[in-house]
Amino acid sequence: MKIVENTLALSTSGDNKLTIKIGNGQIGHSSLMKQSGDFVTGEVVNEPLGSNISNYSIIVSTMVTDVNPHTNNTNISILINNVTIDTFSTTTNEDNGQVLYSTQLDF
Amino acid sequence: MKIMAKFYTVLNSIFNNQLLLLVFAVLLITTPALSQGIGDFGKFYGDVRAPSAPAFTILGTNPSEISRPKSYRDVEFSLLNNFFDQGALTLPSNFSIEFSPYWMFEHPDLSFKELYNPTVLESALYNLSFSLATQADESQTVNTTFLGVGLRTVFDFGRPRRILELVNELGEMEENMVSIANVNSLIRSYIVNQQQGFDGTKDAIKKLSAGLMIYIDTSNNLTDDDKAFLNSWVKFYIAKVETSKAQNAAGLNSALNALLSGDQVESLLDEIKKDSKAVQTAIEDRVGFKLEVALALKRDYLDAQLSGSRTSNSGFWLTPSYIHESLPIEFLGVVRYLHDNLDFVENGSIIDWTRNFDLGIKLVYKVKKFSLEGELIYREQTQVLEAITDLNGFSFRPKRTTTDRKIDFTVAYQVNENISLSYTYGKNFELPILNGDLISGLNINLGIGGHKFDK
Repeated sequence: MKIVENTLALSTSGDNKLTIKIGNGQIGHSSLMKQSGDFVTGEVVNEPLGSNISNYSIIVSTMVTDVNPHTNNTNISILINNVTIDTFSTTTNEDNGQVLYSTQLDF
Repeated sequence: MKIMAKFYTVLNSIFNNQLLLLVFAVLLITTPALSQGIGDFGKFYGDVRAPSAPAFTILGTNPSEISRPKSYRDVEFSLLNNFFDQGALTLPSNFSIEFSPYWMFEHPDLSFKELYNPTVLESALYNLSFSLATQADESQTVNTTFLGVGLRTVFDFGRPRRILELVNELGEMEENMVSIANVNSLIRSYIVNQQQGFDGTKDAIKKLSAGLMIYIDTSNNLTDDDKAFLNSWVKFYIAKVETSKAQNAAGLNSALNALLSGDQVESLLDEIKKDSKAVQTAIEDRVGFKLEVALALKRDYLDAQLSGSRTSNSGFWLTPSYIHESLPIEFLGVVRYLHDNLDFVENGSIIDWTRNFDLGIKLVYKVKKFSLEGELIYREQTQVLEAITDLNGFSFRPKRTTTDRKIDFTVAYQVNENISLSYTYGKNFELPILNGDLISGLNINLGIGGHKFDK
């Protein structure tokens, strides 16, 4: 399994709602632990992260598996309040292989 | 039906894998080749389906090495590397490339649900492929390089056989994928937010272990099973930290990466991979109507020079097909046009060019590994002879049109994913030039070529 690590620096002002989008027709599921200690798993869509996060890093783990018969390319997009912050992509090592995207959101 | 079922049972009992090799060896050695050879024009056009790589089909080649670039940069690199020599454009002698333009780009907005249920135009985009091949012929007086270019796609008007909600593997996959994601989130979150001053000593490792257990215990929204799973993985992680002799936060991170790439995660990944394969099969298992379209062109270049070339062959294929939802039947139509500019002599006449137009149908009946196929193809062939001048000095080109048909039946047995055994009997085309028209042949397909575009 491939592991792709990235770090994003984010602003703490206002409510931050997180969405993880899986592209290229692949299947993906995420997991993250909020500052409150709440675990969020599965599809992450407009998940409130809290408005007073500071000096805290949220680790978002997204497992993507290749099910697309046309390509082994995978990508995930990190959206805050429906605005795409960044998109990360890589190719699985084999057909029907997996990639773990570990994205650190620094507040 | 009963007779076919019995035949299938007998066939299946005979052709188990242990006996198969022995049967193949005997058949290969002792069975005479009864099927009739056909001329080069039409040799690779036997299958009614539009070819998966039309460029290779029109060249009549099955290349052993095919470049399959995954990005436009790779396509550019491959073409520049092979078609340019010291700044000059040249033709390579044996080159083949095949790629799918749509998938050269990333598609961040394409969800799995959209891939599973595409519109007709989306399916045409997803299935669009481009092929290009060259082949050198040094046997002629002037060295000739042939260039084949082809395009293929499928317009899918049907739907997946299973609706998304019935794809059970999705639920199992989600569970396993979330488990691995939870391990990463928990441990990395602890390292970044809670762990301070780790120095690799026994006390530090003990503190790390205890801290992680408390972190799990105080987490919300985790079931008891989730917590038990995470606790067991913390033990694996601590063991990895000890063996890797991590001495700081970076070392702790590396130990986690090593754990998630190691043996402990293998069984979970194998399950996910197995389910992914099943989901991929569900994506490809579609019923209803679809239309395969392919185009190809062949150009001849003398001495590998770009000037003085000519188009020697062109082809167009249309394969409408229908797969029934519950009956194991597939209907296929054949619309095929092939044009050959190659001059040749037939019965004392010099043929300037030949054009074949094929129209036909095929029916496939499949039960498990056994299939029964029947096809009927009508062919109209037009040949234009070289210009002749009559006694009055007028020049004209005689044209002749002949019709023919092909009808055959095939019984096939799919031994495994890559090997199939089939027997065909029927009447082949007499056109273009044949010594006889009976088809009777035993074939073994070892999974080379075929119409599936591999990723």
